[in-house]
Amino acid sequence: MFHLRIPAPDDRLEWIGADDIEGETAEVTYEAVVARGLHRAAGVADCVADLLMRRDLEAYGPSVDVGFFRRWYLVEAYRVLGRLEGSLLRVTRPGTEG
Amino acid sequence: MEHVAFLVALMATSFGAGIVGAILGLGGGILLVPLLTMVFGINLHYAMGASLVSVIATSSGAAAMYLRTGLSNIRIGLFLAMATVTGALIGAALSGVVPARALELILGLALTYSVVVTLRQLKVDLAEGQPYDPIAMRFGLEGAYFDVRLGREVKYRADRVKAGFAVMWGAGLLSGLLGIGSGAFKVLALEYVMRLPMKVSTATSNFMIGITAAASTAVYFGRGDIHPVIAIPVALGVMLGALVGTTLMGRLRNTTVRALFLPVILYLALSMIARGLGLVGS
Repeated sequence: MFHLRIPAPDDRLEWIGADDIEGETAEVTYEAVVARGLHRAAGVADCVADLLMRRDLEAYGPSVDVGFFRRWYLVEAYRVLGRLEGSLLRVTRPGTEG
Repeated sequence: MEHVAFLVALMATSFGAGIVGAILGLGGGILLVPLLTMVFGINLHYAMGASLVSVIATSSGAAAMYLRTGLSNIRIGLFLAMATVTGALIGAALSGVVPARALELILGLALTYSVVVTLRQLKVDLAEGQPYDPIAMRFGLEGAYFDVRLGREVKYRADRVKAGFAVMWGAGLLSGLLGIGSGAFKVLALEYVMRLPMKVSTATSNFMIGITAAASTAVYFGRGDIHPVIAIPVALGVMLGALVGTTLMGRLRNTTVRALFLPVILYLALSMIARGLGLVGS
């Protein structure tokens, strides 16, 4: 069975994918890590969560109370980072850098 | 077999959300999203999409019935929609400039006050006498419906229209700033500020939510985010629930609707205060 490994807040993230990215979750992660220069997992997750929430707010409007679930997007953001590890992101634990 | 059970459970849950949404005049996101994500394990993004389907289905299912029975007042709804829409546009423009936490705290405290007011009025079925607000008289912000429970026609007229308009503008502003539907605030403004019967307030709030949700539909369909396995049972369940909810609402007392509304505003008040104080992340 496949288990998703979620990065810890202090982990360092690095973009290892190409620049021509496809998919919304990859796009928002690229925006956080490459365009905004964030590397600490906590900061990247915050930024990804905010971008994911704004994307849904833009699409669905306030009728579905998107803003009420702001914190939930952070959980989703950490999952996104876990899913992209190895393919588009390199995750380094603090103190294990080569 | 497992898939069938999943679909039936999803439809049953949506049915319940449809009943509650139709009676309390709420959008449905607050009810449905936690259930879809935590109970059914549906991705948050799809849960939001399904929630929009739910809002549209509730409004379509409930508004038609409420308009027929006279519980929903189009004139009052459209008049106040001017306030909520302009407020929401300004709120969206100010989003990120105004500190969200402070707003949430203020909102939580305001809701706590409304919990106290609700508790005080818990046994009042209908306000006594007809108010004579000049703006309400001029624009005909009044109506009548046959109350099945009371067995008579109930006539009502809006009171304190200026204050109600201002509160609705504030509800729209918060909606734009915080990205929340603010259905609960609309109900509170209609009932407490404009002194409309509780059932008229929730039914008119439902109609107003439909206007906002309809505007989002084009974007939603355009994005192709519809997951049919989720959206279809949700839409069917909510639509049926809304139809049952509207029938039930006709038979309920205003006091019962108010009592059902109380836990919702209490939950909203506590969660907003917790966010405002930073006790939970926002």
